[in-house]
Amino acid sequence: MNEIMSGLINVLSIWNLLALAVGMILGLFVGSMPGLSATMAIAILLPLTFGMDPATGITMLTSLYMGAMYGGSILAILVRTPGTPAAAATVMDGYKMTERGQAGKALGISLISSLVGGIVSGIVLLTVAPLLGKLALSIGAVELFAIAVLGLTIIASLAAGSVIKGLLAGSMGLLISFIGMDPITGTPRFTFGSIYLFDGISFVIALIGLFSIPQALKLVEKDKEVIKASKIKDKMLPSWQEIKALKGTLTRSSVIGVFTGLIPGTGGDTASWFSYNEAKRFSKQKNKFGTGHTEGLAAPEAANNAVVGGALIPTITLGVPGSSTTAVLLGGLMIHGIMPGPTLMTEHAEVTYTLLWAVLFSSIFLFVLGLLYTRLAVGVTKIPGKVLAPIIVLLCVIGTFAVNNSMVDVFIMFAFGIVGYFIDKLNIPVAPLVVGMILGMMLDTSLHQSLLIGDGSWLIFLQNPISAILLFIALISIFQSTPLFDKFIQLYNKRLRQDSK
Amino acid sequence: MSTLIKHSVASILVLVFAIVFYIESLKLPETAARLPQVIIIVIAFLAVAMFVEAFIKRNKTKTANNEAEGEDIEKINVIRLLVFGAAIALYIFLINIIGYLIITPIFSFLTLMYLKATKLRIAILLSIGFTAFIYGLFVEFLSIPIPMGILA
Repeated sequence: MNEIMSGLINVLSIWNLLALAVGMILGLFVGSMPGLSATMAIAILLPLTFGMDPATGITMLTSLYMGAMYGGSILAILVRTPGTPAAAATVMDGYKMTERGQAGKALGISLISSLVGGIVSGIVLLTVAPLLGKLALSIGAVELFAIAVLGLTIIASLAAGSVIKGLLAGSMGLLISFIGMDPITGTPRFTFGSIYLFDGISFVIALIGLFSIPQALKLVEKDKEVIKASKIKDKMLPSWQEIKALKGTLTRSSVIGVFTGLIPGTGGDTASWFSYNEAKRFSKQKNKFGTGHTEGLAAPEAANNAVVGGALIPTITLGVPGSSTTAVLLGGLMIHGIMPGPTLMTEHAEVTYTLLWAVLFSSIFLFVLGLLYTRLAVGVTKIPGKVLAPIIVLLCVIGTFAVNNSMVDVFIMFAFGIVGYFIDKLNIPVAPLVVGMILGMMLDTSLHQSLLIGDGSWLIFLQNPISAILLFIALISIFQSTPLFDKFIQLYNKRLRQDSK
Repeated sequence: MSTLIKHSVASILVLVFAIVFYIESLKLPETAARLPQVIIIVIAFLAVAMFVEAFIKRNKTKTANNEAEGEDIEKINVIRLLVFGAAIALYIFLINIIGYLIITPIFSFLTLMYLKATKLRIAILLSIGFTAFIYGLFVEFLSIPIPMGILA
């Protein structure tokens, strides 16, 4: 209880409130700009937070994450182009409302839905995370190894693209994390004789390169048309009656958002489509969906903000991030030497609880600043991508340099950027790669400890019931996304039909 | 470049990466090499699987889809991309030699002009203004030293 209160006091300090506001404005800006992502913005900002108190830094990054979720919807509603993948379902009814001259009302509903989604997820996070955190402390090395394997395989098999590419990206991430001094034997691993690699590849530097340079390159590779956003002519805030009519949809979608966020590998896009379909299923006016119906807009908007809290639960309690964005957020803690894992809720409780409160408070900031920003956003979307590309590069370079005052790091960042560009072109998902980089050390250490417990026998993972179940689920998660599984299902159905005949 | 060729090149590169890392892992004590070796074998297997997957996919969608994909690739301005990429590499290389404060406005001005991103006046203002902003933020506010090059 003490930690929860100290987290609350922490988040209410002047500096942290300022960090919330700055993060929110940046998040709204990034979300509303086509071609920019929240993950990229958080990665670029990481070195800046290095100079701050860890709690202030993480508060700013969380607020940015929340702001970008709504910012993405501004474009979806005004231009029919979702600013982020999580806002794709918003286009369905949001843009139709704009066509009817109700752009302001659509954005107002989107803002209120985001507020409700954010608050619900903040409350769930504050209630569930401490309980799970306590449970996580009783987890031993054998179970931790199985959890890390499960987390990685689920992310790899659910990430966009093929499961093979997802697993490949995850394994590559693991291997990269092994570069540097081995924590158990003290031997330098895969350093190829270079002293620069003795400390390993900094996670933050790799993140900046992977998420920012490809984005800058993509902004210049094509001649994109200038976006023409519709003007907002009507009132933004809907009436109390209109909000009350949406309460069922908002509650259901928020719950869907939180639960979808909990599953590694799924994110705002899955949650918003899922809640849109559920809203349609439960609605009395099913035929109005897709024609500019407020329920169809409120559902995805509440869900994509509720995802934030859900996604943070496994990230904080177990140290297993479920997406690129939460992995990058963890980078905000790692830059201060706070390592992911079950100790986040104990040794670093003050910072972690500040983060939990930041989710709740950022929703309130989102509502206030979102109202002010939205009308400005029409002008912001006109900034050409080609102006942003060199600016992104400048920020990446100075940001990377600032981490260790080293130009070698800048070259490593750029190399990661080039690799990131090509793996994006090959449709290889980046999320498993960064999650692999985070989990590598945890896997290696827990494997070593487990084998010590089991006298060198790998069977220890099957003898422990929890670990055996988790590893079995991991195996199923890979198997279900292979063509073999489809064949298996077809065969099973065929046999069923034959039996019934 | 067809999808199959792209995937073949990627698979070969990943295999080379795996082999190099495997050879390096042989120099390590058993405890330190255990998990990396398992991962390297998995990577090698997945690299081959990625190629096989691309090969099967190509056979399935040989006609219509591939043509559409080809058209999409053509829209990428490869020369602009290469020049921009080379400019970034050169910029990073010259920071230590010439100094951050001189090379940064030059890089941003030249790239903004080359990309035809904005008017000359705005490009000059942006280049100088942004360098000043970074200097203020990183050097004055966060006390992070920047490479001064010839200005040192």
